[in-house]
Order: sequence, then C-alpha cells, then structure tokens
Amino acid sequence: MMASPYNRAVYDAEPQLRRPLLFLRGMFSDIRSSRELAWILLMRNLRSQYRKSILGYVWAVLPTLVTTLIWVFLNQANVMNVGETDIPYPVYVLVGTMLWQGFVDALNSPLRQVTASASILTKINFPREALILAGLGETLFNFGIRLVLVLLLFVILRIPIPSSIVMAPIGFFALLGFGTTIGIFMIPIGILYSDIERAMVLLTSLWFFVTPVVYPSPTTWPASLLANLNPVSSLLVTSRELMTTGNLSQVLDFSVVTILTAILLFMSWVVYKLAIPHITSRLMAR
Amino acid sequence: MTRNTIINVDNLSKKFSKDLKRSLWYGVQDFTSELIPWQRAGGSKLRPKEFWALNGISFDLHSGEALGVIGPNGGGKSTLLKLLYGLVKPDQGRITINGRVGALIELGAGFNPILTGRENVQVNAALLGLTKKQVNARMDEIIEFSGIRDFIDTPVQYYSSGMWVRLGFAIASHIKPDILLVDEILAVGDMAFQRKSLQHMHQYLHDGGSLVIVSHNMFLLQAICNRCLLLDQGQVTYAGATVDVVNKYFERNQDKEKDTPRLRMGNQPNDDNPVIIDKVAITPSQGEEIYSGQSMTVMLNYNALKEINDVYWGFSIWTGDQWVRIASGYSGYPNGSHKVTEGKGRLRCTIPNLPLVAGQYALRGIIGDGKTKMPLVLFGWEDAAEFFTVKSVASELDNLYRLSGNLVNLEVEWDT
Repeated sequence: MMASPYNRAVYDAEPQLRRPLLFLRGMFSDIRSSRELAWILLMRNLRSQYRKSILGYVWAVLPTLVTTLIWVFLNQANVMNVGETDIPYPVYVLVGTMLWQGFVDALNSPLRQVTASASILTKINFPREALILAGLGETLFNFGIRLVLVLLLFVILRIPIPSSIVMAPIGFFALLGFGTTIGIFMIPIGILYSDIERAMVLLTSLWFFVTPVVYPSPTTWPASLLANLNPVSSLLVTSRELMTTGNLSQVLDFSVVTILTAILLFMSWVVYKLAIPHITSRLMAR
Repeated sequence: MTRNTIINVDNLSKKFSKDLKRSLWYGVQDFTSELIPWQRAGGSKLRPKEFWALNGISFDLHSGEALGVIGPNGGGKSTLLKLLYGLVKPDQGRITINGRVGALIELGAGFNPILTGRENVQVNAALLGLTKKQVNARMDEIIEFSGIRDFIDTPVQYYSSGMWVRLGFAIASHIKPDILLVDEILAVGDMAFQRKSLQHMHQYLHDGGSLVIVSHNMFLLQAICNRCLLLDQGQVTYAGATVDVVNKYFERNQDKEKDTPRLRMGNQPNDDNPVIIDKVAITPSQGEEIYSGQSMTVMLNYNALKEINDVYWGFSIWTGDQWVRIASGYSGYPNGSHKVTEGKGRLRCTIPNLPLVAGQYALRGIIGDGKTKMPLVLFGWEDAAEFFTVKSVASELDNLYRLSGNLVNLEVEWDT
C-alpha cells in the first residue's frame, strides 16, 4: 500500500514488506517523482528563510566564524591548551567547525523538515521523499556558502591549497550523508515524541567534544577509544585533511564508515517510508 | 468488482485512541510491527482506550459517480477520506483504487505565510501533483479564477481568510484526477465563491470525473450526489439515494432530539424573560398528517409573568437542517397589535394552502416587543426547533421537485 496516488493502488493492513518487489518499485518511482517537488520545496525554504531577516545569508556563516574566533582566542590566551596540530590552528578550527556545522545541519534537517510539514502530511499525498531531499538541499546550500567563505579566506590569507582538495567532495558527501542517515532514523520516533529533538540538542553538544573539531583526538588509551569508536571522527578528519594537507591518516576507518553509511542510508529510507502512514495516523486531525 | 468500479472498499476498519500518550505508543507499536513482515498483523483487536473510528465499511464507487458521505461529527467521515487518499493505513480490510486520486481536504494547506500568493501557487500545486511546466502554463488561469489578481504578489499572511481559500480553491480546481475526494470545503467563502465551486464540481463530473464528498450541507449533497452513505460511529447505518439518506439523517437527529431534554432559555418566565414559549406547533386542520397543499393551523403556546401589550408574533419555516429560511408569517409587526395575557396562553393562525414540497422542516417562533422591535422570546433559535414532516401524494413530478431540491410549490396558471 501507500504506493501514492497513481493509477492502481491497494491499501490493506498487511505489512508492506510482504510484497518487497512492489515496495521497492514504489520507492524508486517515488524518488523519481519527488525530485521536482523537492526542488520547489527547497526554493520555497530558501526564499522564506531569510526574507524576514536583514543580515540574510550572513547567518549561514556567522556561527562558524564566531565559533572559530572563540576557539582561536581561547587557545591564544592559553585558557585551553589544545595540543599540537599539523596545520596552523586557526585553519584547523575554521575547517573543522565548517565541517561540523554541516554534519549537525544534516543530522537535524530530516526531523525538522518532517515536523514542519506535519500539517500537510495529514492532508496531501505527495512523495514524502521530497521533504528529505529538500532538507538535504538546504544543508548543501548552507554548506556551500560556508565552503566558499573558507576558500576565500584560504586565498586571502595565502594558505596553500593541496591538489587533494578535488577529492574533498567525497568526504563532504560521506559526512553529510552520515548525518542525514542518523537524522532519517530519528524521524519515526522523533515526530511522535518531542524527547528526541531535545535529546539531539544535548547529544550534539556532547558529540562535539568527542570529535576532533577544534582539537586533535587524544592518542592515548582509554581516551583514544572515544575517537576511534566515533564514526564522525574519521569522516571529519579525512575531509579536513583532503582540504588542507593532503596526508590522509584514517583512510581505512573512513572507507568502512562510508560504505556502512551507504547501506544504512538505504535502510533508513525503507524505515521512513514504512513509518509515514503510521506517523500520519497519530498526527491526524487539523 | 465490476469493470467500471473505480473504488472498492471491503470491510474497512480503522481504530484510534482517545488518549494521547497511548496513541503515540500504539503508533510506535504499529510501526515496529510493520518492520517485521512475517509477523501476523494484530489489527483486529482493540487495545486499551481504543475505539473503532471505522468499523467494517464496504462500498463501491463507479466511474463518473458522485458519492456523498454524511453523518454526525466524529462519525468517521474524514478518516474514511484519509484512508481512501492513502494517507493512513487500514487496520483491517482492503481498499482497491483504479485511477489517480486527488483530494481537497483543506484549501491552502501548506501555504507559507511569508511567501506571496504567486509563490504559494507554485508550491501548493506541486504538492498536489502538478509539474512545474503545468503550473506555469496555468498560472494566469489560476490567478484569474481566484479573483485576487491585485493581491497575488502580496505575502499570504496579509490575506483575509476568504482570499486564502479562494486561492487554495483556484489551485485545487486545476488538478484533474480521476477520483476527487472533497472534505467539507465547499461551504466556505462568500455566495459567489460557493456557486463557483459548485459549478466547478458539476463541470468536473460532466467531464467524467468521480467524486467522494463529505459535507454537512445537505443541499449541496442533493445538488451533486446521486448516492450517499450515512456514517455513524464508524459504521454505514444507511446507504442509498441521496434524498433517502438525507431523510434518514434528519430522522436520526429527530429521534435524538426526542431522547434528549430540550435546551430552553428557562422553563419559567422571570423578570428578565417575562414571557416564554412552551411550544410551537403546526397541525393539519383536518386529518392526522401534514399534506402538501392543505390547510394548516400554526399554534404558539406561551407562559407570561404578566400581561404585556403591544407585541407582535410570528413563526418561520426552515429546511430540516435549519440552513435555509423558507418563509415566515408575522402579525402585528412593527408596532405590536397583539397582547399576551398573564399565565398560559395561545396565539393562533391558519395557513390555508401549505406550499411546502414533501420533506423535513423546522418551525421556529417569536414574540416581539412592538416598541423596541426586539424579540421578547424566541423558540428554536438557540434551542431546539419544532420539526415536522410534510407528505405528498407520490407522483413523478413531485419526486422530480424533491430531487432537484425544490422547497415550495408554486401556483402557476399555464397558458394553453
């Protein structure tokens, strides 16, 4: 069931996975038909986002800049000693924060998009993938703005850019893809219980501290365990290395996490699609 | 399922929980069992604090047909539409649909207040399934239809609610699915807009579309639908020709009226309300039953605290759903040539030739003060009216009048 409003549809109480081929076909036909809608929704979101704002797109980069300045200040004032980095510390932090911000955006976007659209979920049958895609588009857009700023600073401050930067998009996609995957898994429960959204805020701030965003991961056991078990670590570190030094230190971890992400992303999509009618039942009404 | 059956609903059931926390938890349960396909669906039993929002519904819709769904609030009408639209999943039973489905559940759903009307047209139309190309091609037509060209580049947050729904309808009317599901949206907007939407529905049917429409507006249903379902507490309690179903629905409401104590402004006159109306009734001058075209007596029984001079009195006849006032009779208006006497009393008049077409009607009464023109007491406005049934000697012409929604018989002298 839930094969959306196309020619022949059968809706019954059977779990949809009983007919896996039909379900799979539905998934791919929906993703096809949702692309244009996703684009229109993305345009709507981008237009409405900053229309009531004076600073506009500056807000996309301001948090990254402020966080960077704070950490550079803390480090220079010796309030925090972050240890040795193999590139100038400001560059390390700037790139790290930019990547981290992208990850957090990707993580929060799916649930936020679906929650914001709760009222139309109960009234209009459209391919639900469009919401996720539009959210991803917004994440990419904001990420792109920050990336342009960072590259601009690289040029202005005459920071050498390695040729490996052409490979950096692979890192970006893995990082944002991982965030999106976790984000999609959160939707079914997150839209029913507000606990998830609250917990996510707490979780991301904790996660920040166990990820080498503004300081290198500890190399001694047992503190190193945190960094090694943290999938974001290798994604973020590799992306940063691709942008700055070109010397990759965590290729194996990065590859494993990336492949797992691809598999999990597909699974999260299945779960999301299965969950939507049940979520809608519980949202119902106005 | 015959060849031109476009919707088949077979033993459809859906349950809901009244309790929020439980409802959410059941949502998690249902979703988890969806992930385990080899597990038998346990949808047939009610869990604590659940009830059947729909219980064993079956019906067919044929191509080109318009089916009305009526029933009291909470009867399961909107739930049925959401199931047909595929927004939610049945707990039991099966829906088979042959054709593209579109639904108008709320006009302008998903409008972003900050964006202009034009921008919202693009988004809303895309959500409803139009491609960008189609929207751009029809943009002018949509704006024209909405009749708010001057405001089309204004953020919709500054729209009046009427403008909002006009724009919503203008978009919705440009989707042309095989089956259109409509939830109570035609009763919005001003008269001209309502007429426009009705015309649109007729045109859509004329062009071969099929319709399922939920409404409380009986006249609209009679004007559009051939068949109706009466949905009450999740079950189809009656199905058949629209006139009969509407009739059944009124009877049901009347029966309920009889069971529930009448809501009155007060059962005894007091200083604030020196006179109350105990009863308003219409009875045939001869015989037991009210027949179209015969002589009737209208009676108003009152109870007054004291004598009141210079009053006028009157009655009005309404359609059974009390939406339309058909006719009224006032005596002594405006200056008040009647008086009410202390204690119980009665006012009376005769209608020599009752012009009503057979059907259900409501009767309301009034006693008013000739000096201020204000009513002293009303019967049937804030409380229950008196319902009565008019019969007629069955004839084909009479049925035609009923079906086409006639309310009164007109005396005509035809040229030969």
